Amino acid sequence: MSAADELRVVLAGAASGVDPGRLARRHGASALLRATPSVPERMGALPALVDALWLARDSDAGAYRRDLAARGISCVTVSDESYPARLRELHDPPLALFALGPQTAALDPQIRSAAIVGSRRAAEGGLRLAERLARAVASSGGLVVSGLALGIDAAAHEGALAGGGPTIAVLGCGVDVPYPRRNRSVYRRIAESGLIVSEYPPGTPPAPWRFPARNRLIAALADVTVVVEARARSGALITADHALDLGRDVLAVPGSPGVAAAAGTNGLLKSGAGLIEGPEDLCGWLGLDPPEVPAPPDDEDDRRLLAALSEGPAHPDALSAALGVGAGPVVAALTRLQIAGRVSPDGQGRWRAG
Amino acid sequence: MDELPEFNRAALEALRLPMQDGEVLISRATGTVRLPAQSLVVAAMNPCPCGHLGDPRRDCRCADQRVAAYRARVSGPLTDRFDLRVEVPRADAHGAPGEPSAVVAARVAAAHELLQVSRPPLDAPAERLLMDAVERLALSARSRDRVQRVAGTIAALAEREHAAADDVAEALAYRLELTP
Repeated sequence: MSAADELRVVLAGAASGVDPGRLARRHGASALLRATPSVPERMGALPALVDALWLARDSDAGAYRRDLAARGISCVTVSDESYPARLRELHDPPLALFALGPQTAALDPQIRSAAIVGSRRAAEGGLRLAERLARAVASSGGLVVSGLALGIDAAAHEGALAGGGPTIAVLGCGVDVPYPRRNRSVYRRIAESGLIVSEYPPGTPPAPWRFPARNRLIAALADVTVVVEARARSGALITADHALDLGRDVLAVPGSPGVAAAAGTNGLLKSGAGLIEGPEDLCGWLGLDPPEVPAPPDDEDDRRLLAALSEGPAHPDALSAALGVGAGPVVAALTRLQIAGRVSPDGQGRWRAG
Repeated sequence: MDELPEFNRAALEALRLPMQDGEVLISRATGTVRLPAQSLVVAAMNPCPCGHLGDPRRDCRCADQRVAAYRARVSGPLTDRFDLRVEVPRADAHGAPGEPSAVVAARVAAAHELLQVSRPPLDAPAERLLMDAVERLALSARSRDRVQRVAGTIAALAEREHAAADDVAEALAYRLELTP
């Protein structure tokens, strides 16, 4: 199979809106392109795809690659040697993988990697745990993979960026499409210091049916998949299923019994998923040394303040009331801790640890 | 000025000179005059168009772009000229009452009198903290001067002769960023 033909088939698929992956895997990309149109028709290709394949047969794949390269987007196809080894383990590996961002080295299968996924509408506690897990993995040399969705996904990417490690966002649209828009700040930072990948050509708009498919890439790019918070029938459970298909470990964060928001994760635990309560557990599964916990500050008030913030972000007035310390000293302590890198403002008037 | 972002942009930007230098500059075809305009500008705004962003009890319904556009109506240079910027969360109807205003007024009057004579200078640890902050928080030269002034005012309110590191740290905390 030729890499150029694979790319042409991918582009024909994008142009026609029909996924050519199954046919290309069975018959080969070149066979699809080089035969007369009746052949793909007999193979079962939809008319739109047949037309698009005919138009794509002589398109200039090299020029297309150069155009993408000029925009900082790389492209590997399944017959390229540099195609990510982890994706080859899928029974339906994507024909092509497009990537934006500097961290292509993060696709190296030697790097220990965790997918951190979960609900788009997670509670504050779940978001904070996702962030802490990701930060611990990133700061101890591991890779964090997720899907740039709202909620747990975004928190995982944020945590990895804060931990100074690589993070890969797998999109269900083109890598140049910052979707969902509310995550465009984290999208931009991943494009600057991580890696954004997709099996769909740049410019592909988001569509609901593409998101379950991208979940298989999230599972494939990671050694373990952690589901932080998920209802029954959550998309995160699809990622967990893919991980099981690949023979990778599935881990879940427990929730209260009978709570709908935790029905998905508790179900995974019931069927044997590994239990994750904190960063040490996840680092243990990955065989990474958990990051050192920074020494508690010398000052007694600072220690109490950090302890209060470990419960969740808080407004200085609330901290002042909870600790019985004046508002002035509280904000002064917060600023000192900010300069020391221990706390940060959340942009909504509250402060959070880390 | 209530609902600050609702004022027209040109009017808001015209505030910069009186806030910075205490005067206004009026230019007409026949010439330009400078007039004194010492002012104390107090302004309030919502966190977002619907008013509920960051409220633990109500969900904000604004798209991120709308929040950003709303906040961008108050420019960075204008924001910089407000020495004290604080988030005011939902008040608790059953909360303990604060300090009586008369007590605060007396303290402010005393500090004001003190500041007429001189502003408490920073002590050495305070200077070091301010230098650290300029570096770590990327403060502009104007912000640095403002923080130093506010730290002096905090020290004066506490009737101290020098502004300590804690006063600088507190002054730094009153610099809420408006960009979401």
